[in-house]
Amino acid sequence: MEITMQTATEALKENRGKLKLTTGQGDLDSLIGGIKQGDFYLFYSSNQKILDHLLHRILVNCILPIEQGGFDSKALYFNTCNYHQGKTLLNPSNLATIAKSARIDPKIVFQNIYAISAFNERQQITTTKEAAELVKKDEDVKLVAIHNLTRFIKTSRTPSKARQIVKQIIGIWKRVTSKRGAALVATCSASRAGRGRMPKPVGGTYLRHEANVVVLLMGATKGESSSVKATLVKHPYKKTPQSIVLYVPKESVTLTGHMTPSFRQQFQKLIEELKESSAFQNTLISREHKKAFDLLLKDAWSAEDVAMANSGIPCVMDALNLMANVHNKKCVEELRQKLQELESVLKENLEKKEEESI
Amino acid sequence: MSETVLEVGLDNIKGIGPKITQKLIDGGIDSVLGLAVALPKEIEEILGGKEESASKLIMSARKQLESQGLLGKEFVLASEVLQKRKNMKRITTGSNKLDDLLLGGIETQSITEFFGDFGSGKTQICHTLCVTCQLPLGQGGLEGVTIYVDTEGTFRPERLVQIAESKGLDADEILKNVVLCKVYNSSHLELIVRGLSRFIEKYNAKLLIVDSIISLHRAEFIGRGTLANRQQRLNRLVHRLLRLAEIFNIAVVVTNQVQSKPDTFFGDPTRPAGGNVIAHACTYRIYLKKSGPQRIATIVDSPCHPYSDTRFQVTENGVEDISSPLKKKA
Repeated sequence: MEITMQTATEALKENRGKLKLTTGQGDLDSLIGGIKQGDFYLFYSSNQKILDHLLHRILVNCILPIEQGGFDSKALYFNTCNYHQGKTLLNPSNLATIAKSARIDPKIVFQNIYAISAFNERQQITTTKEAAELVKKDEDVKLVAIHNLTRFIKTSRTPSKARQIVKQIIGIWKRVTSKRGAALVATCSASRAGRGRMPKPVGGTYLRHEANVVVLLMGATKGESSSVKATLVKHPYKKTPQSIVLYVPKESVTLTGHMTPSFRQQFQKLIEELKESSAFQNTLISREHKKAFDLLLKDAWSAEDVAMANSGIPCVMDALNLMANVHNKKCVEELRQKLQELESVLKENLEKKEEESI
Repeated sequence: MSETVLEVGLDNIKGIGPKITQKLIDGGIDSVLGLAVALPKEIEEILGGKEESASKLIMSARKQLESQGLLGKEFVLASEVLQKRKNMKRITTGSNKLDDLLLGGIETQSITEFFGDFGSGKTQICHTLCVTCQLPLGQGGLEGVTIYVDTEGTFRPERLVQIAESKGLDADEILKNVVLCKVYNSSHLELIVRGLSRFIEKYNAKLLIVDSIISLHRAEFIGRGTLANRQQRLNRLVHRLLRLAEIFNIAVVVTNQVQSKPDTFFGDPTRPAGGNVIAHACTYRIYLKKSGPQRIATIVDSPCHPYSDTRFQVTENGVEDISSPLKKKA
């Protein structure tokens, strides 16, 4: 094994080159910043239906082309379930519905997903080792999705042993996915919490430490509409906790329904995409340029500009114009500051002259 | 001292021929300093001889360095130690309150451990230290490079850019002076720590961060059967870090995870992971807790600090003092 060191500049370049997978929900994407290669995402909820749908959606999205927010690669689905109590494997009809809604042939989706299942904690560790070998061999696997990672802690006769096995499994998957550059998405149930306290994921402190991003999903039904509240519990660089509410139609507490995103969401998504594009990141590296960009953004959020921005994604010329605008704005700001300084100097001199004349 | 300490070759020691030199180099010990700070058991494993002869080799390496004035004497007067400690430097954490708690900042020649639950600010402190370490000496920095050993995959260069810009520093320069090392398993971590002296010398590093020290060992050594082995390896690892801190006059910062104690009925059930081994080896131990948007830092173990705590906050600008104190309930 070799010791490889890299500077933070190289790490930044590497990070920017990483792909991001969409969850299928613009708001959730902006909350967690998309599902990034090499990171470990943990979604937990007391409502298994929400987690089920989210995981199915992520699996389909992984197969989508990169331009549509996918990885354009295979995925591995690891199901942890009690044979006598719950469902056994993937729900194909659900998967097909999601695939159709994403305008992709369900056959392609089925061909690109490996599905593995474990029915008890002993099987969980052996199948994990086998699945890890599979991911090591097949370089096309860019997503590992684990359904209810910590189920056996609750159902096992020896919970302490199951807890230790979970630790081992997390270690194996983190090692393999970070080496391979695959994203690791796991779900687990939420523990019961007292009033006013945020529920914690079942699985102990180790799981919470190891996950890079932790999200709590809570379902609520009020009146005619149902909603899912997503709370960001842990994130490497975003403020936590922060929440968003995802509205979905009643009687289908899903994250998979067709939703027309609001203009504000589209606008924010577009701005985030722009900010993340490498050309812009290089331009916005200086503080002045960044300030100028923020000022332009404020100006853009006026009625007329909104109407213009709603016309669609900017083409190359628009992007170039925007970059030129950013630079101009920066120059204007600098000139304005200089002018202010000169004015103040002039004022001081005039005051001095007046005093001298008196 | 640190400028020439690695340049002394193994050939300078009596009783070491070319064959033994080659064996030692293959085993990861490529300088007299490496041999002087090694454990007899390690040398025994590399050379395959008796432990006594390994101890003799280590002693002669130490004497060699002592005679050249490259290593401190074994017995020194307290006045000399006091003088040495006066030359010791400190790195600011970015928060004046936290600096006051640590009597000026993170010390060189010692290990400072931050432990706490997830989201308590451990990694954020490490990221801020990467930036503040590069500040000029008068501003609480060491004007040096940081080596960041990342075992959890939590290092984010974007965060360094944010913090550097908030302090009005050139982000590009800051990024160039942070060296990242990604670690995938516990053996890899041990190998890296064994070879760190070369990199500290190469990059002229002033700060070494290990985030986190326990993560990989915790995942790989499962059950009570492997506990003794895990603790022994951890012990070796932490002591090696301590020796590096003393020899190269660098600051070593490690983060540690916590575990819940199920038999606690009253009070805080969280305990730092790693047991007594890490508790004894680390010079300073700081417990971080989340309290709404603020963080509470408590000194748990220190040879000189009083038992006290303070509050700070983590924002886009990194670690900083609380802007507006909490309103007291009526």
